[in-house]
Amino acid sequence: MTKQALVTIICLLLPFWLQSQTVILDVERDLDSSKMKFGPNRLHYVNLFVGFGFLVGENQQGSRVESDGSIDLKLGIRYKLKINETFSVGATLGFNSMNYKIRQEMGKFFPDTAMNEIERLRINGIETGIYARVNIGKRGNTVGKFIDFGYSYNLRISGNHYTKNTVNDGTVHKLTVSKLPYLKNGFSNTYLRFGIRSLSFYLQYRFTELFRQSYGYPDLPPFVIGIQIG
Amino acid sequence: MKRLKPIMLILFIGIFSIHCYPQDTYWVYFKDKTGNKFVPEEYFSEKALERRLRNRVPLSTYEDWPVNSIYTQQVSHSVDSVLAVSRWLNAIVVKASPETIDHIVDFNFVKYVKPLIHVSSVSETVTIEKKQTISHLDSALLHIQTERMQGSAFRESNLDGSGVLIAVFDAGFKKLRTHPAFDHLIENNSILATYDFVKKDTFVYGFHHHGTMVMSCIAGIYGNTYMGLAPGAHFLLARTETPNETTEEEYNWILAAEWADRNGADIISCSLGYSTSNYFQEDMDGQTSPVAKGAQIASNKGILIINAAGNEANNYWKTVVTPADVEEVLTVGGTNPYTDIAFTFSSPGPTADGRLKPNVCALGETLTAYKNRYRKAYGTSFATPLVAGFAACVLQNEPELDRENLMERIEMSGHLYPYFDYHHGYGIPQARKILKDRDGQDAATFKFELSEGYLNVIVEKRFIPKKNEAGELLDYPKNLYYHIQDATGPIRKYGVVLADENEEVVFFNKIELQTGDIIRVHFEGYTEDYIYTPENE
Repeated sequence: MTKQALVTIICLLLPFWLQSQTVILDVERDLDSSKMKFGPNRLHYVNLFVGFGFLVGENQQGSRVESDGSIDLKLGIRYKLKINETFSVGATLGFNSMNYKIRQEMGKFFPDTAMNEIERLRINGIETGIYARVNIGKRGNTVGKFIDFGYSYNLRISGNHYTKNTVNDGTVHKLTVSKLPYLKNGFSNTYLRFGIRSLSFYLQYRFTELFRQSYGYPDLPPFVIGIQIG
Repeated sequence: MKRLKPIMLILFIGIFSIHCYPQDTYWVYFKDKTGNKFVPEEYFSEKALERRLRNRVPLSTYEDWPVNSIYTQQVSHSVDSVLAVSRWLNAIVVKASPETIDHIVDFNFVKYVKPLIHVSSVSETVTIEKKQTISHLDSALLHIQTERMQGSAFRESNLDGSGVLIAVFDAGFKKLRTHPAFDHLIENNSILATYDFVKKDTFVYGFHHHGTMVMSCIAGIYGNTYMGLAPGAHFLLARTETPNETTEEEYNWILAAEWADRNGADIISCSLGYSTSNYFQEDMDGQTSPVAKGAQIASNKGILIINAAGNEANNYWKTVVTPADVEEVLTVGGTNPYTDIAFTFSSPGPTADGRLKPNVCALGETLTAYKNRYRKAYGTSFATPLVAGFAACVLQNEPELDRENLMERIEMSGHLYPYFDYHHGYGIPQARKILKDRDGQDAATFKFELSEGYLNVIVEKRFIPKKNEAGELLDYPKNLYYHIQDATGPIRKYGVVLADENEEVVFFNKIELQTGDIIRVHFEGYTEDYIYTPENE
């Protein structure tokens, strides 16, 4: 191998220039003039989001919940594909946790008639969905104002029934029961989301029931009203 | 069916929301200015006329003629209200419903109608540190913020911006009249006029502290120490923006520029800009945005606009904002006062069409006047007024300079000139270069050396700091700047390296160099180019 060839190989293996000194600034410009494809108002956009909402709606006799203690939490990732300045479509994937605080009152029979100090039903799941977006107003490389219509399916990964009671001697009993047989494996939602940039308000409606019919439990409130931050 | 009802309700709410159109704001552009008369001597101030003569521009052009009042009247009968009138754009801003606009578009004197987009300007302040009193470190910073531009050389030559009129556009000038840093401005009646283009009245001394902080970097005085370079200048203060997210600022900016022109402003200092809310990066071409067009018109009247580059380097935007993208605008980046390197937030260039921006830089960390005390602040917002003060001193020293030459003088005074890159421009302007008494080194401080496979840059040993027995440097290492420019023009790669280890500071792999590449290096006041061709070997 000639000396020149050896030097050439070494040069190819080395980076553009070696750092024998302290580098303060190093900028290599991408001179490709093609439009960027990723960005809030570009062809593709991906962002994380978190959501918090209240579980509300018709409280049926036998399984009433406390509105202020029943919450919905979301954490996920959202993808948007731009169709044109007005329309986009997208998909979401995330984790969802619904926490119902069961009201302790006469007539309660979900999941039983026992009275507790605190009683909760927590359902965790993987939520996937698709949505269509209508963008409102002209904007630059920003999400801007929008309205989303979407469908999501929540695949249940866990369901826990939790109770807490303090007995006469002061002992606190906490009981968590999992693998609840009365819960369905999943449920479907439709939702509406109004957003401005990273903040959105959402209204979600669960249109399939939580419980297997054979158990005869009244369904829990199907609506969620909340906010999401992306 | 029970389950369907809520779904239908959700859909209905959504569709209804989309179709709710409230009243909105529009630009209505007219086709001509037929039938108007205009006498420039009656409209412009004496200073405005002098500026035109100095810049060899006509005393008036078509843009200066008034908008046709009959057209304005006819439109006003149909719309809810007329919010503003712009001579430069031959347009008026109106509030109207879309149905009314559909009707107005058919008027034979209307050229077209554009909706006024609710944009938010970029907040040019990054972070603020609260200080009750000035510490020793703050005193040191206060000294550096003008002395890094060799401000003492201007003072020794009795240059403080006297005779120069600077217009400052901002969100408000809260507490300016009572802050001790501006006592001299109040006593000398240096603020000639004010106008709030948001509320349409003359009171600007409220709403926000940002303008006050900016003004301190042009004209503030702390004790006997100048906070900016032009405490002797005169000022026009304009409120053009609000801190809220939904403001119609672009038309405020243009109207303020018309007002500044009419009142004779020599310089406009502007620490705001527009970016992601209404534009894409490819729109930063100096032509697309309305505010860019307004800045071009103002420049054509001989006004030097000095604008912040933006603080968008760390987010999606990553480039300069508008109107900092305009060729005629002197765009300012922000540097670290202790290293001379651009802050990571300082928006780099070039523009979308490949032009050099920023043009120069100045300190992006300064001590400012805030409320009734002093506060350290970060952002290209505060580098910009430092350069505005510098420009005022240059113009005071050479009052015959037109806008173009004034801008060129400032660029050529940059401490890195003729080196430039897209973070620093030509560097920090230096007063001694303006006064032709510079202390730069003309002698070579480095050399290029070819070796097998590499092009090396070797600095003189005297610039490498010595070390103690523990291996610690006994002096601050110097910055070496380099860029590689294509034969066709754009910079392909650039950077800064500390000369802290040995004389061979940087080397370039020849495999990556192309024929005709210009490797420009700047080190300690000396700049040299190396034009690469394979025949060099």
